[in-house]
Amino acid sequence: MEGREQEKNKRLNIPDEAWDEYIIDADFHLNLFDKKEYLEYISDHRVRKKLEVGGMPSGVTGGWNFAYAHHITDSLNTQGVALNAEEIEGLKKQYAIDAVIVGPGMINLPTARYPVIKNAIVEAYNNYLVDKVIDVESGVYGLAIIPQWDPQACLKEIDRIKDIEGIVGLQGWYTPQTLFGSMEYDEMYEEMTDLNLPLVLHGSGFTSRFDMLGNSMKSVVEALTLSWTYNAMANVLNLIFTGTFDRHKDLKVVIQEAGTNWVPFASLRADECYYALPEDVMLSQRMFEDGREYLEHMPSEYFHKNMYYTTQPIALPKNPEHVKAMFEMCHASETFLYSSDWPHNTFDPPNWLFNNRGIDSDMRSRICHGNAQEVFGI
Amino acid sequence: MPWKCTRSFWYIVKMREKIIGNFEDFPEGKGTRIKLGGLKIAVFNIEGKLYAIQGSCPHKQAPLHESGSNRYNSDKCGGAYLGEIDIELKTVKCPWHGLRFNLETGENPVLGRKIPTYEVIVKGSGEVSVVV
Repeated sequence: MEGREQEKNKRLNIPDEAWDEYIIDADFHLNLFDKKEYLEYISDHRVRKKLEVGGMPSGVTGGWNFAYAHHITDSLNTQGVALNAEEIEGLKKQYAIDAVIVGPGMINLPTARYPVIKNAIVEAYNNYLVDKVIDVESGVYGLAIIPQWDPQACLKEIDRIKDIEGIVGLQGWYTPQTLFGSMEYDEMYEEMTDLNLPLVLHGSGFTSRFDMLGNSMKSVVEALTLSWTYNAMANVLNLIFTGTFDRHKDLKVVIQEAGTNWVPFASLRADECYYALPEDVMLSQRMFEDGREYLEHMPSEYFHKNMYYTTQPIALPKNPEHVKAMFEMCHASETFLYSSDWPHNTFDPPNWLFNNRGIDSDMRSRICHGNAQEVFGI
Repeated sequence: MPWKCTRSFWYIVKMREKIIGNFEDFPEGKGTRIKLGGLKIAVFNIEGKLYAIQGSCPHKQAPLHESGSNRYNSDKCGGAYLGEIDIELKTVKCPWHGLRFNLETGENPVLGRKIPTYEVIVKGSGEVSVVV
């Protein structure tokens, strides 16, 4: 404890109790923005040449500017950059984090052009992750990217990385494009459930195209407040109402960085609309093929049977009793995973878990590590 | 040892036939609303056989006896009416939101639970009672 005291990041005022809790950070970013970091992992010379001269293919959902205090040059990495296991290990000690689930950032990748280049980046990133980042003994785990724009390539990539220790989930992004209830992912879901790997979906860009509502937003604060949340909701509801979880009962899906308080709203509304139109689900393609008339459970049940939610950006009510009630309504003890979003400007240190009377020690330990250990098998 | 009266015992003892009318009071292919004290029951005549089920839908308390009925001014609603009696399946659909209930068992596939159904007795005289 004394040794760790000296490593604390005093700027963040992380409470002492946090250092006694085992904390897994379920959304920690590795941002390979400098091309020299990944180019050596690109095997095809044509793709490598294009990346050398053109950089990462740009997404069509960007265009938002977060800077107010000062110019931001490298995305939103206001906390720093960590590119390998050693650097991550140093950070964990500062933030009272014991293990991290490393994700790629790269939030514009799914909407970028050039699928050939994107597939090469996926392979290169996953190789880099295995080579430089994953270190199971140090508690550094990774999410391998799936090229969600190409379901057959997803299967190939899963086959390639499936036996690597320390890859604890498959990373995609929730977008307004192809929703994850689409049957084109069924083969992938079969493979994932066989391998006991969860699908981990992060927000992607801030919508400005393919999405009329996002395209109409005029300020970054609107987009930050809402766009990822409604895209997450759309994907979760699509997964449920197309019968994805009835065909793939053991499929687990983690939603990253969409907030949490929408869960009671969306689940109750889903139940209410299902009461009004229960026969509508039988006409979704998967339910029709499977000859199912109704969902096996009420929609709200899938929100905690098959889903997990990372907590950042946590938005707690002021009254601790409301926090308690909100967490109960969200089934937080079964579904919430602490996350920091390190190193972005919306970074959440674990302080809130230790200074709120609405969160008891059992709930805290489930959020800090219990649920993450369960879903990631660590 | 003193005899202890249990709740289930009283339930059995208290269950009894209640006369609700004559057979002709229940037109074929329709639902009829019956009130027995505070208890509301919907009685349906399906091809000459009577079925009795809880009178209100557990979702939003819609009157289930209206399933399959013509609603007031229904010609002006553009057909926006969900209630339906399925003679083959022996089910009724709630007229407000469309939840379907089996008239023999009270089962609904969405709720995952049953609503109460009641035994109907038709005597030779045509007198109809339900066991409640």
